[in-house]
Amino acid sequence: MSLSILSYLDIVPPILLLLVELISPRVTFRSDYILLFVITEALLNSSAMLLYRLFRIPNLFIYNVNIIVSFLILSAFFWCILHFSRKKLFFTVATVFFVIFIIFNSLKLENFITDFNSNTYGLASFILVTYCFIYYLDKLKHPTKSITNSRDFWYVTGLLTYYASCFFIFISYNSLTNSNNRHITSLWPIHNILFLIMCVYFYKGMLCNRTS
Amino acid sequence: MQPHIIIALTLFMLLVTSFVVVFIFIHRHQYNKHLIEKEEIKNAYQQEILKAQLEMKEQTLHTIAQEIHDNIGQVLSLAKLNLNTILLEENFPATQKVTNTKELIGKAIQDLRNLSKSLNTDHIIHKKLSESLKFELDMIQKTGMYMTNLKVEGTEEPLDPQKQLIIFRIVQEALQNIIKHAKAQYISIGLNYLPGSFIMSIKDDGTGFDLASYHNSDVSEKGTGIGNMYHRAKLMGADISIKSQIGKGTLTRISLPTK
Repeated sequence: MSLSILSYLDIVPPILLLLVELISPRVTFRSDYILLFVITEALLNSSAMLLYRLFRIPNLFIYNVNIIVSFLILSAFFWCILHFSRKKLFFTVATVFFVIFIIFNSLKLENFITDFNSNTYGLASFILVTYCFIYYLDKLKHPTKSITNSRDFWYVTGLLTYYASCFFIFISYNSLTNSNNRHITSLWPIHNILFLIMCVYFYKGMLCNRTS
Repeated sequence: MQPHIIIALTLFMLLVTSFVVVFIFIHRHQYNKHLIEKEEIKNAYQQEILKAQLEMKEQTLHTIAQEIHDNIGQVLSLAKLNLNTILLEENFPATQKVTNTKELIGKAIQDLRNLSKSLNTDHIIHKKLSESLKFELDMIQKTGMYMTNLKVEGTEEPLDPQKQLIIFRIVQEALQNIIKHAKAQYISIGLNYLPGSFIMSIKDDGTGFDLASYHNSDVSEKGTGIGNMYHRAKLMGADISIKSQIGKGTLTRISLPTK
């Protein structure tokens, strides 16, 4: 029972977040990359679940699409909130390297359709966690008066918690699925709990936005 | 890697990220505390500076008041006395002129006495605020150019002498502004003694002014009148608000907590 609840934790929280967002007319049409990210997660995770549960079709390629789209959206988000010298160069190099790596990984290491792309997930997580630390460093160097009222702080904290904590799950997931390890079923629920924690941070950030 | 190792590493990473977040929170908390302390020190320093400035001004006014009373007033009294001792025959051509001169000197002595009272700190502190303000308004009304009114609501309770002096100086500053710039015909002062607070309002029916453009103007264009009023109010911990509209006069309101 508890395990079946855990398996829905990567679908229900983003949908709930979207409902919360839609209730408030003020934030419905805003250009917010995190909202876009939540929509992407809700759509792709639901699609993956439906494909597997209803049609028994392998859904790993949806997760591979998910990390690419998520990485690009979150890169745009960090582009907007980070301010440091050589930002343009840093983002360009990171993005170009990521795209080249996806192509190389799909062609040589992990099949894009049939395998879970652990390497891509690992690289994306690493880059996003780096962005998160740059954000914190910037906040330490140039502090704002009330960081807890800043929605970006809560968004970044959610992203850091999720991508840093899931890093080892991501990089090992493909090899574990290929080795048919019987304990692998316990990993994804943990990922889902971390995903839920990220959504809780997002919710907190959305509340900040509404009240501020 | 075995799944249990991955779970352990995941939990470890969760712990690390939690630590980072907690660290940021603690750092923010300490930084905010530091900012508040810095702000408090800055405010205390500014209060001291303002207090010193006002004390210097009061001392100067006190000296001028004494000088008017003891020196100029004495000289004029002596001059009037001398004129009184002159014995003039009736129908002498200068008699009327001497009488006029005596009256003028008498008026000058009275005006100087009033001015001296208005400047004298001790005089203001030892009288009720309403009495001091009535005295000021009467002086203005005597010019024949203004109608004045003083309204006291509630039971007048003595304020702290220093605060009373500051309030009186704010009123003087406001009245000066009205006389200099407002082209008003009617000036009214309201004193409202409430439990726990004292509210004073100074109202005129003059030309008013654009408060927004005043705030946006250069320091050199601003003058010191309104700035002084704000400084003085800040010094005694009172809130001051000035509302003005062109053609509709000005209302200055001061709210002072008394407990």
